[in-house]
Parts: sequence; structure tokens; C-alpha cells
Amino acid sequence: MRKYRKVLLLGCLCGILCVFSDMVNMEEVSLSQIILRTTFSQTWYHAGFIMSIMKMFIPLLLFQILCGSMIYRYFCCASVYYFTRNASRIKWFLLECAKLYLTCLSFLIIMILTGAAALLLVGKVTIDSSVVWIGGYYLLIYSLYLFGFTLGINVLSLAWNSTAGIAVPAIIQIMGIAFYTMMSQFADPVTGYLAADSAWMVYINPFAQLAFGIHTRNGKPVFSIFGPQEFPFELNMSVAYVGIIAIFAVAAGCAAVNRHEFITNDKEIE
Amino acid sequence: MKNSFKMQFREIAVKKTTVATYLAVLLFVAVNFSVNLLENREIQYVSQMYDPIKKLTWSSWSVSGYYLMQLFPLLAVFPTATSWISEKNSGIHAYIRSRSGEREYWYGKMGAAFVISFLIFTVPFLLELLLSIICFPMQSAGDPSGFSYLITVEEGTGYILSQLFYSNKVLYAAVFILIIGCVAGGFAVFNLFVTTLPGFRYKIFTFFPIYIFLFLLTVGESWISPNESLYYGLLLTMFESGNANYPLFAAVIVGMLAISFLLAERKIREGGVR
Repeated sequence: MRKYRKVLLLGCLCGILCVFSDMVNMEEVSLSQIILRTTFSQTWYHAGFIMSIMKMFIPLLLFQILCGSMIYRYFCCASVYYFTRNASRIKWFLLECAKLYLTCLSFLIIMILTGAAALLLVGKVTIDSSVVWIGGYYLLIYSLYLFGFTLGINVLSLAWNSTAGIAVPAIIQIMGIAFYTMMSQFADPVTGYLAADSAWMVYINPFAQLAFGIHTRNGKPVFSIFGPQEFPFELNMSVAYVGIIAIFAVAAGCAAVNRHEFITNDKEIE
Repeated sequence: MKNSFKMQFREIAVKKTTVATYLAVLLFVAVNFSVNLLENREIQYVSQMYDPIKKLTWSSWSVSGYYLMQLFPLLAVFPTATSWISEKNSGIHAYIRSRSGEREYWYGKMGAAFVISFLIFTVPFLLELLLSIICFPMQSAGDPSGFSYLITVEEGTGYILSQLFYSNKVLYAAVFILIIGCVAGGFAVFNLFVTTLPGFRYKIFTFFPIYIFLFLLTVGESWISPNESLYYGLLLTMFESGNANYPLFAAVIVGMLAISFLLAERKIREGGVR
């Protein structure tokens, strides 16, 4: 229970420090606006936005670090005792995955609700109809993304060690953000939009899946400040992308826990 | 103290993480230098060439440097972050402490962490500077923006140490590289000493402190310094004329080192009691 308490505390802190501090000057704000603000919709693929992107991204990274040893710690502290009594490691691992996914969901919900509750104290928070689909996609995409990468850290820590376990996913994500903000170099200098033949840069970038500001839903932009792009980037595509990451992480994890030698696996003392 | 420093420096310097970090930084520098070489190969006249100092890795005109800057906090703490946890888990700290003494152990560790990060973030860049001086004509003063020299002089006074750049550009680059090395050392020392607090059981948690610190700095920026940025990426980039609060950032780095000293003293006192 203690580890979940830490996650919830982190969610509350991030809600106040990210959501509340970012929107405290707005007199009236809707719940969908709060979610859109957290989903990088105020940013664009330009180097000038790197600071605001990093500010909103650090809570996700902190969550990954905090939960990156959630499954791995069994192999550090209790492996011999624990796994000699576990008939099916895969079953145990899938159960742990379900717990991790629920933790990801709780973190995201707590973060948004804490931010909204804090804003309610100083102003007015309204609930609009679009919150249903924006919130739905937010929870689906962000929870699967967080789950995939956090599980990836656990699995890599198991397979190699926890230093490499955190370094590889962190570098992939930070480089994804850096590449995203550098995409403006390939954009049209007048309009600032990427041409349709450069769409692959957006499609393959893991960070771009989180940026609702460049997404479309049924062909229309999710957030219209930056206008329609020259190519579609449907939210459903991002759901599929992060879903694949999550499935891949689960599959790799199943293989890793099954093959791992649990007697000599505490790499924390190396 | 000297022996303790030497022992710990040698131990951290040969770690896989240190070598990997050094190679990663070297790779970014090599990519930038190769791009500069290829760009200059196409140009016939010295007058058309860009100023080599403006194309160094830490310059705002370097793409490779931009990517490296995003990884800077992670790479700065990467070689030394797990140093205390590893020694604690393996029990080697008792051996070093018994040989060198409590105070010598902790200050030796602080010195080793600072010097390792400082060297990783200075040696490759000083090497690049040296190679640029050898390979490219230093009299070329072209600006990558394409504007004329006079316009860039007029507009370029907004960035830090710009006066030094116009009087001696090699010295400007060297000083800037040394400043970045000191910031990297500060990050490494702070991160390492925060991990001596209770609660850091796993290596993975040792990367927490620097990110929490940077997160709080970005959030607090709107209250502490609303008109000037405290974003490290802006402050540590050459020729970046954005609105940045250098004195406050310097005070923050000094504050980080002061916290590290306090944490070291706390550990020394704890060790003495036992």
C-alpha cells in the first residue's frame, strides 16, 4: 500500500505544480481545457516550445522512475523466497501488469482531479460535453503510454540492470521530444506545417502520440489554435501505437520473467 | 583526503556507466564536427565560411548540441548517481572509510563526482575547440543566420559574455565550456548527496533528485523570475540571446553545492556517532 500512496502523492503534487500553477490566472476554465493543457495542446513542433513540453513531461518521467521498480523489486529482495512458491510466473507477472496499469490510470486521474480541485478553490471549473471524449482518449493514450514505458523499465532492469533499465527508455523519450521540437526544420517556412510526405516523422515518434495539439479526430483538429495540418493524425492511430508498445512490453516481460535466473538476479549490489 | 579522492575517482572512472556517458558525449561532438567539416568542404572562400566558434556543439546553431542539451541532466548525473547506493549495497564503503576516515571519504566522494562530470563535459568540447582552431580558418566571421557581421555584432550583445566573444572568441568558447563543466559537476554532486538521504534503496531512484529539482525550478520560475527564464537549456547555450536570469541560476547552482556540503556533514556526523 505504501508504494501506491507514493504514486498518489506524486499525482497530487504534479496536479498542483503543473495543472494548477499553469492555469491559476484563468477566471473560468472547463475540465476539457484542463485536460487539453496537460496533453501538450498548447505546444507545437518548434524548438521554442521545448521548455513548456519538458515541464509537462517531467511528471510522466517521475512516475516512470517511481514505478520503474514495481515488478523488478521482487527480483531484488524476495526472489528466492517468492518465486520458489509461485507455480506460474507468467500468471503472477500478468497480475502485476494489471496492478501497474491501474496505478497508471490512478496517477493520471488524481493529477487532473487535484489540479481541477485546486483551480476550483480560486475560480470556476465547468464541465462541458467534450470532456467525455477528450478525457477518454487522454486516459487511454496516456495510461497505455505510461504503462508501456514503465513496464519497459521494469523488464530492462530485469534483463540487464536498473541503470540501463531507466537510461534506455528515458533516452528514447527525451530524444523523441527533441526530435519533435526539431521537426520545424522540415516544415514549410511560411505556414509552419509539415508537408504530407513528412508525416512519417510524426507517426513514428513516441512523444508525438501524446501531443493532442497536432492530432485530428474524424479529420478535424482536436485543438484548433494551430489550425488543420496537411495530413491526418487521428487519435485512434495513437491509441493503436501506444497499445502496440504496451503489448510488446508485456510480451517481452513474460519472456524475461520466465527465463530469468532468480537466484543470481540481484543486480542492485553490483 | 587525496588518497580517498584518488581511490574513488579511479573507481568511478572505470565504471561502465562513466565510459558509456563519455562515449555518448564524444559521439554528439563527433557528429557536430563532421557536419561542420562537410559544410565547410563545399565552400570555396574563407569570407563565405561560418565562424567556427558559432558552429561548436554548445552553440545555439548546432543541431547535435540541441539534442545533447536535452540529455544534459541525465548524462551529468549518470556516471555518479549510483555511486553511493552501489557502495552501500556491496559493502565496499566500509573498506574505503576504514582506510581513509569518514570526512575524507565523503569529501573525496564529492570531489571525485564533481571532477568526473566536469571532465566528461569539458574534455570532448575543448578537443572540438582545438580541432576547430586547427581545421577551420579563425578569421572567418560568417553568421549562420545569414546576416552581415555588423548586424550580428549589433544584435548579438544580448547573450552572456558577448563582450568577451568580440574581444577573444576562443577564450569565450573555452570559458563557456568550463562553465558548463562546472554546472555538470554541480548537478552530479547534488544528485549524489541527495541519494544519501533515507529512502533511496534502488539504483533507479538515484536519477530522481535532478529531475525533481529541475521540475521545481521550471514551476517556480513563474513566481521567482517571471520575466526571465531559468531553463538550463537556454542558459547553457552559446549565443542564445533569450531572456535568461544568469545571476539567479548561478545562485541556484551555489545553493545546490551548499546543500551537498550540508548533507556530507550530516553523513560525517552520523558516521562519527556510530
